[in-house]
Amino acid sequence: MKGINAAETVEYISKYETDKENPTVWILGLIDQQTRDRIDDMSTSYEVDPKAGEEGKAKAVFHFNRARTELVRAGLKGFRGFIDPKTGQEIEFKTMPTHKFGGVRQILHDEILNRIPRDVLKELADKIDALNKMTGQEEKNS
Amino acid sequence: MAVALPELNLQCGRCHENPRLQIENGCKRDSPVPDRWQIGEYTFQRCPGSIVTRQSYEYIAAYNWREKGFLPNPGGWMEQPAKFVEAMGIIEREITRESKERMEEVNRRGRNA
Repeated sequence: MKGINAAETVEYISKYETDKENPTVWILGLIDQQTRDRIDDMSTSYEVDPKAGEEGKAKAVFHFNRARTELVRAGLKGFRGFIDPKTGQEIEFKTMPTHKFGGVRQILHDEILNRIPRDVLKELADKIDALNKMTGQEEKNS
Repeated sequence: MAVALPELNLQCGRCHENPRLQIENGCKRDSPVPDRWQIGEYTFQRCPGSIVTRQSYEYIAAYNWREKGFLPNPGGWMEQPAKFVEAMGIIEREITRESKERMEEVNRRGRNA
C-alpha cells in the first residue's frame, strides 16, 4: 500500500484465524485526514484545572478502545468468508450513512462491527493504524 | 532521501566502470565505509540511487502536482488519505531543510569570498 490513492486496499488474515483452508479475509483501506484527526483527538484528552496555575497537575485520559473501534469503522472496507456461526452463511458486508464534517459518509454498520470478535477488532485496528502511517523506512526514503 | 537525490548528482556510469567505487559507494551491497552517505539526520550504507523506492518517486510526483494545485483524490486536503498528507509534510520538511542548507552554504561562500 502506497497511500496516495484513497481507494487502495490490502487483504489481511487475522493471526487468530482458526480455519486455515477457508479463512476470513479482511479488506483494509486508507482513512482520510479528517477521520485521522478526529480519531487522534478522540484517543487522548487532557483536563487542566485553570485555578491550579502553572504548577497544577494535568490529567490525561486515554480512550484506546473507542479509537480502535473508530479506526475499524473507517478502515475496514470489506471482507470475504466471514461466517455467521448460527446460520453457517457468509455475512454480507454492510455500511451505514453517518453525518460527519458537513456531509454524509458511509461507515461500517454497527451490526457488522458488533460481530467482529474483540481480539480480531483490536488486531484489525492496529493493522489499519499501521497502514495509515508512514513507517520509519518510508520516511527515510522520502 | 528521494528529495535529496538531485543534489547528490549521482553519476552511476562512473561506478559501473570502476568496481572499487561500486564497493565504496555501496552500489550493490552495504559500503564498508562507515556512514558512507549522509542526508540530513539520516545515514546510509547503500548508494541512495540504488535504494530509493518507486513509492518515494510517486510521493515526490504527487507533491509536485500538489504544488500546482492538483490533489490525487476527489475532495479537499482533509479528504485525502492521512498517509498521503503525512508524506507531503515529510517532503515539505526535507525540501525546506535542503533549501536552508543551500542558503547557508551560499552565505558561507559569500563571507569567505
